[in-house]
Amino acid sequence: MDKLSCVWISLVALLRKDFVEELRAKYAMGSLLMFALVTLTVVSFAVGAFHPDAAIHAALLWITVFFTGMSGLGRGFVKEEEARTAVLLRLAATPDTVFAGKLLFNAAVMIAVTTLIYAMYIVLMGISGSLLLLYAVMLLGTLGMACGTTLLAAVVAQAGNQAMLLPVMALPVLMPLLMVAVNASRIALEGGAPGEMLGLLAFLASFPVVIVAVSLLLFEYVWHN
Amino acid sequence: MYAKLALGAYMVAVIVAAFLYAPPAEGLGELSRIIYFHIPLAWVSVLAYLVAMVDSVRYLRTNNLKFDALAHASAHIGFVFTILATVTGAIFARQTWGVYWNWDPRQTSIFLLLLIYGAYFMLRSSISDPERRGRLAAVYCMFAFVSVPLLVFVVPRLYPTLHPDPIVNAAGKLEMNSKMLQVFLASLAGFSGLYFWIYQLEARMHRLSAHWKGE
Amino acid sequence: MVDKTILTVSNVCKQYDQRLVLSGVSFSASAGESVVIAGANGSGKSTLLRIVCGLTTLSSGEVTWQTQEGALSPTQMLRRLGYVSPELGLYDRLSAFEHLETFARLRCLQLGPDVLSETLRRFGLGESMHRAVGEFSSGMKQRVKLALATIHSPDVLVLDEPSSNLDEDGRQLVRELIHEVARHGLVLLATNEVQEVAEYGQTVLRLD
Repeated sequence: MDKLSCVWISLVALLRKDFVEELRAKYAMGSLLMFALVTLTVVSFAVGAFHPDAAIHAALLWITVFFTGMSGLGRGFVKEEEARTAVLLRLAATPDTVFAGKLLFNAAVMIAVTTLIYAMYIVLMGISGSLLLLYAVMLLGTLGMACGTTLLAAVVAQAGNQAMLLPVMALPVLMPLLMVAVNASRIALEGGAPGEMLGLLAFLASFPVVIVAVSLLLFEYVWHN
Repeated sequence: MYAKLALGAYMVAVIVAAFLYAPPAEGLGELSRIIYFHIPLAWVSVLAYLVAMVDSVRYLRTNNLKFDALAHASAHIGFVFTILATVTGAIFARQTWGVYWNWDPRQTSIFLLLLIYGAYFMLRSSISDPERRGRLAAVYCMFAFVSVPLLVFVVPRLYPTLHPDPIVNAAGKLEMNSKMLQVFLASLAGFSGLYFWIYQLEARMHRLSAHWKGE
Repeated sequence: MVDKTILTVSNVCKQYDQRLVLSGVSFSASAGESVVIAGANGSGKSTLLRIVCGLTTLSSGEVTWQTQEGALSPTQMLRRLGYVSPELGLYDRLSAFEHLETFARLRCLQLGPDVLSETLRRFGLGESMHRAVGEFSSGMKQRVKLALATIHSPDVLVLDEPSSNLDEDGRQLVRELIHEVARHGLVLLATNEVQEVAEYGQTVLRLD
């Protein structure tokens, strides 16, 4: 069997295991979605009867996405370390496979969370503008968040999983991404066209590539004790 | 010993020159003297981080805890310089632009460095196994720095309208006459010397404590 | 190039903060041998095994594996050996069968469901292979770990207290596994049980 199909088989096995486990632990994914809902509720009644402009909406939206992401993205590695199953993975799978598996899982989680936040935000806040473009920006941005956080989640899981550690460590890494995502969201909320933010979109699309390349170089040092 | 005294005398000379020898810049007046301190401080902040990164790479290659201790020492020094650079920058901004903080690219990047240093120390303090601490801290040191070039060089180009370029340039592209340039370069060298002196002290302290433990 | 696996451990030390767990441990072992590592609780048996497998970094010293593929570091050896330890966990929500299936695929082994079921029956889990592992007793979990550690027929078996929580049938199973591997490969065993030290200890290494 050639090497590539081997990588593929083990990657699928890892992902399947993660999804099966997640589906059986019903409350885990549910609690993350509830966290997003609670944050949105706070934002919604705090804003109340005011009519914030596009810039404020973009800011509130990304604050919600950032903190929801931070509360959910660490879990992939943390649960392996806490259940002491991480060693089983070290014994059986290559570091690259583990990284890719956890990255794809994180990306899937973020897509689900983002979609919920996006839909709820429209319902609760009555925003208008280029909403489809906003969704695209949010998906690209959260994909970048998942890519930038996966390596850090592995670090945090080995550092004893202090809850505050992941957002503190992730913000510097994600700051360029967040600045661009907030601005692109503002333009979309003002009714802008994709043509007005080609540079921003190009940045959002290339950030995951850069950060994953660097992560793959470093992950082996994190994963192997 | 003599190097220490020479460095002290040199720094005194630089400080005196910054106030008495260099003429005030046109437009900025006496305020312009802050550049002889602010810019060297910011430069050392970055220099210390780069040294910490090099030491981190060396730690990952050799697994020798000495390099981890050096990286940590350099980050410590850099952190202090970064705080000073941020504060002097805010004072400078208040006098030139009227506000302490306005997320201009330069302020953003020095603040980003401050956040990275903070996260680096927080990570270190949460791990007790020395080898694991060295490994994870070294990885974070390298990983976090990726965002610095993105933030300094790429992001500002994507939306030039957001940052008032003319104002930034008025302060940034300061016309320096030869006297000002002499003092500025002398100060840059002095602060770099100060950094390497403290770094070298930390290295010696580590060597002695390792020797003391009988390693 | 050597045709059998040789493990060389020289002057290995491990320090946690101020506490020295291992100081200057040296030994070597080669295929066809079973080595028992004995010593009181807290003498560093488990740490030594983890270092040998590349699961923990050492503070100083060196560990090398000579294999048919040349000299390998412990980290490179990690995926080639079988390792069982009380420090290993299992996925509570997956069944024993799903465990074996997942890890066979992670190792890129093409094993059909009937082979997996047969293996689990051999490990005494035939009746309960489709129940979630979270409901298992500690002895049954130990059997799952043994099955996971040997699914790729490793040449090197590293066992940390393999008989803990096992009944007489289980102990017999461990005995068979050790004899099977020790015929052509290398077994490293950490134990406190006098009987096991006597039975498997061709070479006994005492950590005190």
